[in-house]
Amino acid sequence: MKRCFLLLALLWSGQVSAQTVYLEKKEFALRNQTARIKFQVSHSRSEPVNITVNVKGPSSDPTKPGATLTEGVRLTPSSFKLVPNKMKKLLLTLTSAASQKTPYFLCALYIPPVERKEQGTGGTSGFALLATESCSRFWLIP
Amino acid sequence: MNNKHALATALILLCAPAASFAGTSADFEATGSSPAFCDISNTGGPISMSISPDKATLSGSGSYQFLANGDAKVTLSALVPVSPQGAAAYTSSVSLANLVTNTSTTAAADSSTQAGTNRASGAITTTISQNNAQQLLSAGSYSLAATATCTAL
Repeated sequence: MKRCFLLLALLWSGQVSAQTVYLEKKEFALRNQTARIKFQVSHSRSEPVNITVNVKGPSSDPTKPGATLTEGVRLTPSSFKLVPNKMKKLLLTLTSAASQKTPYFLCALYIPPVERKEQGTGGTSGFALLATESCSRFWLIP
Repeated sequence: MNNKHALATALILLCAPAASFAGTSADFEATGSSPAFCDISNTGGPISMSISPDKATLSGSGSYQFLANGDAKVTLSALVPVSPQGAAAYTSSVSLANLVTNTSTTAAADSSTQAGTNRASGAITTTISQNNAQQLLSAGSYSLAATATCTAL
């Protein structure tokens, strides 16, 4: 049944080309200050693309991701090439000393490749690169 | 004898394949939960910017799509502009129409919370504008980088 819901969610989100993080639950219990979080990542672009998964901690605003965590995070691989419309299952082991219910964020980042067109010398030209990131919030409960 | 008969009947019922119960029970239980998610995509890749006729602004446009199946927020990171060496003063901005605009190179900008289910698309507008007495952008190549983040709450 859970797979059916994930498939439905993937099909629904598949109408745009963004990457998506699917969390099985929104709350995870800490045991010995460690939580194991199963999640899946997909995208629906037309070709395989590189996705980077970042784990972000809390900020002063519970609706906003804080800084990317580099310690207390075990996630392998955190960056990978993913074919379209396939769910990649991942396991995050997160260590936290949180003493109260605390928000964390799992984020999938896609940076479009730069195909910069060289302009003639002397002109004024420019380009903008807008990366996109999809995050899901979850809570750790001591 | 009666006890043996009762035990045999119970064993047959317990060991029978599930299908054999179909005739005696019509109870079904289907449960599940839909994972919360949000997506945001820059559907056109890198955005080329071209100079305006008054030579004061570089601008470009693209498009975005955003969807969420529950409350979500969209954030534009602080902008990272790169300009030619010695360029005259300028400002930059990135806008996702009807969602969020950022003109800061030091702070992110947030949309309001987008409540409930959402499916939106719109224009991405990027500009680099002169901010000097001559009202001109210096010659050379400029670039602007930012990250649009949606967060499923």
